[in-house]
Amino acid sequence: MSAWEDILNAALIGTGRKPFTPPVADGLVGEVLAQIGSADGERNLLASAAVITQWQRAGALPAHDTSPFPEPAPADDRPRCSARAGQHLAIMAGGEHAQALPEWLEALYRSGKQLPEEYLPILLALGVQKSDLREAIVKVIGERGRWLAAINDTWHYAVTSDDEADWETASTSARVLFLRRLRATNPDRARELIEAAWATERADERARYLETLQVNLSMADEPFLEACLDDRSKKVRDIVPVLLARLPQSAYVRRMIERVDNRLILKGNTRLKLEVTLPEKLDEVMIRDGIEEKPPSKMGKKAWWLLQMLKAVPPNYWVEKWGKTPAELIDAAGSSDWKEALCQGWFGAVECYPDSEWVMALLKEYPKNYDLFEGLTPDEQERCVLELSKSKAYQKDTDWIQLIGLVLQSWSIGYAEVVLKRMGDYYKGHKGNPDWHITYAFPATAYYFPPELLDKARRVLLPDENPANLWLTMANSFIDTLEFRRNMLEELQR
Amino acid sequence: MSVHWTPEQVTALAPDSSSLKTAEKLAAASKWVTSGCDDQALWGECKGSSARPYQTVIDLSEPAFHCSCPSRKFPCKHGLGLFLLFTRDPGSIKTASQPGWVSDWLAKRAARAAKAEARATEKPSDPAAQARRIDQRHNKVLSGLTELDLWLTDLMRRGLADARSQPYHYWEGVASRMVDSQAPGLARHLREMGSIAASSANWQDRLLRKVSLVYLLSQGYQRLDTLSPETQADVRTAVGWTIREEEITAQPGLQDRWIVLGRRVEEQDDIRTQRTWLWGIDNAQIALILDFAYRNQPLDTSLLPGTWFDADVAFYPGAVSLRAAMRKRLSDTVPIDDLPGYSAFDAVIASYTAMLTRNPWIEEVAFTVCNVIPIADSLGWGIRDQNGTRLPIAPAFAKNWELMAMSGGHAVTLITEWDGMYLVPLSVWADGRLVMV
Repeated sequence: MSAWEDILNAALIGTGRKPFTPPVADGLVGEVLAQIGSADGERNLLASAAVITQWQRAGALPAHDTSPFPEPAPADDRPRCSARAGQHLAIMAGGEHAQALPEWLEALYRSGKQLPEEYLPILLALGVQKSDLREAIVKVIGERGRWLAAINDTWHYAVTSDDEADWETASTSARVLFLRRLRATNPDRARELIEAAWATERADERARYLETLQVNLSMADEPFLEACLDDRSKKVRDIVPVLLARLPQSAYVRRMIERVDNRLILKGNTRLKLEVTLPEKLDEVMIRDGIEEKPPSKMGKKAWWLLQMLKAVPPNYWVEKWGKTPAELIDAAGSSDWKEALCQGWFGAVECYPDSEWVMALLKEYPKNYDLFEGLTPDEQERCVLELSKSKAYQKDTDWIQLIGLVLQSWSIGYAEVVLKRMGDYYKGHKGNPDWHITYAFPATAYYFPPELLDKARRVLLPDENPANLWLTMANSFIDTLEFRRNMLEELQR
Repeated sequence: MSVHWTPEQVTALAPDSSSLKTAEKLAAASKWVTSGCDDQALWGECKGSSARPYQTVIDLSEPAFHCSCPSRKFPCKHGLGLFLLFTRDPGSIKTASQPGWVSDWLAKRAARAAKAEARATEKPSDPAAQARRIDQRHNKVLSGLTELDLWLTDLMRRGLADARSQPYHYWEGVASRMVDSQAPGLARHLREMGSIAASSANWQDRLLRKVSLVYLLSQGYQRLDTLSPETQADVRTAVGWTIREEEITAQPGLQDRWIVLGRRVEEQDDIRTQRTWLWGIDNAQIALILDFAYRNQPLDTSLLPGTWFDADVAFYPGAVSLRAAMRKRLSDTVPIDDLPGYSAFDAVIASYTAMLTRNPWIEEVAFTVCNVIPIADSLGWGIRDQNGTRLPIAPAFAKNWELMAMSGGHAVTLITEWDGMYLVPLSVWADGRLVMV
């Protein structure tokens, strides 16, 4: 045992339990230790420890490691964006204005710049919590980010490679991201990879891979999807109809049309009415096509079957077949015994085949089913909102504020100005007592509001010195967000 | 404009990230009712929550801040925001002549500096009274040390394993006794013992090392007369005697081109201690500028990492020239475009050991070392040089991934503190950028 270990053990146990025997050592340090003349065991122990401590501090040899260094990250010649842009990221990652992250990531990607390296850990950690940002994160981290992710297990989602050779060794999450990217550029190749992996993967993985076919879905995918209707896993089988229903040319959609075509009959000339006849039981092909027999609670069996079949028929099939507008058809359904099933079926169909005419017609009849908006382009969404806000179902200010907030993508200047004008009018009409629905919901729209209108928004929202507190808080919060977005976008454009 | 400040440097002045965030908002010309600048200063009036606008001035030579707002942060958001605006968009602030409130503050500042200089050159008014005070303090420390000796021998008798199970007060009691005896340096070590005892990593070795150092110090102080004047100064400093900065700056200094390598702020018991490390290019000399602040008091922000200037710097007495005080800046502050450093860890260790043999109470010293690569392996985090020497990074260091990201497995120049056991990185110089970690 070394002198230090002797001393350390003695110090741990204590001289009260075991008297201290001064250690003996070779060389110069031994000579110095021998000079400690104290008779007192405790002092002797302290002095010996002091000698060895100094001897070690001054003489300790560092560890040596001559194994090869790990492979460094490949060079990245993209210019860096500023540290201020990194600060914006840090602020959002800290939770403030976090809703602007997707926009910031997209702007960074479009700028073609790289993030200063010291901010990569923040960015990579962000994707651990927020899986919906991963795709956008992976697009901007560059070689350095991928290199870093490869040495930190918690960041493994970002170890992506557009090199197919890495497919075999990649994690499921990394494969999913890879497939989504590959689908954008070479959809057939991506599908082939999924097919090749099909026999050996477990149901959970198969389901996740299958979902990536949403990207760039086309008729080329049909044979594979059709075969998947016979998959042994229900999890997989549940996904297939959702995909096939989005392919209007597919045999699946054709079968669905054939099933309902003669069962829906439109009668009357001025007062339209839809008559429906339904089968008594499901056949095997229907079950294979994913039509479920057992209805959810509070719904009849047949209504449930009708709903499922209608969902897979492009809604404009009916428009073309009968030469009637969606509004007229919804009206005709209204006098049918199957009104609910028909309209809910069309809801499902419109989700598969987004169409602004259908959305508006359905929303006038069934207000607030805002899920329908998701498939529409921003232009269509804005048009729908402006149109709907004139209809009587949406006249209340509280309904209106909900409606305008549905456009969850960058607003056009025209749309923003209409909204701003109505807010200005609202302020004049409700100076002392704004409705909290308005003041609560409005600030979130700052994430889609065009930053070019910042100054105008300030003038309209705070036209005078004495707004009510609720309003002031709302306006400040809105302006604060908008200004943050303007700065963060400007910084990336420098 | 003689000094060129960059937005990155200004960002580095922010006391915390929330200040930076609010400063970001104020970095807009529309927020400033009036503004102006000249070669010496930058100023503006910002509309805040009170009726009168806040008046903000920045002395550009250091930089130094002043603002009429009630914020206890320093620099406040107004100062930072105005400075950010100025560095990003110089055209937005026009050259103008100083309004009265600006020139008043600058004049007051100049007067204060002149007074400090005068005080520094003055001789103590009553040498006899001063000697008496020193004598009183010396006796106070000695009586404290008698108690400390008893406590240390008791510690050895009961053993470290037993002491580890003692409550916090076991360490805190003797530490505050040392504060009462005007030996705050010893108190700090005793408090650190308490936290080592409460930690898990390698506590036995670290604790005994600390105990033995304190014993060495106590013994040294009790035999002060037998030591060389330099070592006497080291012992006094380690025990916690302070020397007024004016006494130091009254001494002749060392003129050099000083690079500000980096800084670190540590907090203990409401006191924040800022260590700023300077490197003298021509004399290959390290210098440590300490600054202390109580609670929310501001720390000096005038030494910006990544810049250099000509200056005259005076060292505190001791066997090793380390702690220093700024006597006089002789040039503008300029961002560095190159960073000289040691070529490998051998040279760092040799330099540190040389200091240690002259002053055994030396703790961390900052070094710049070139061509090193951060490593994460089975031993944990470390840094390796091209000869294969691998030094470990302190377990408490939190920015290992930032370090790794900066390097990407490539050799970088690292500025780091080294205490003989662990590295605590301060900043990385890579690709022409100095980034603090």
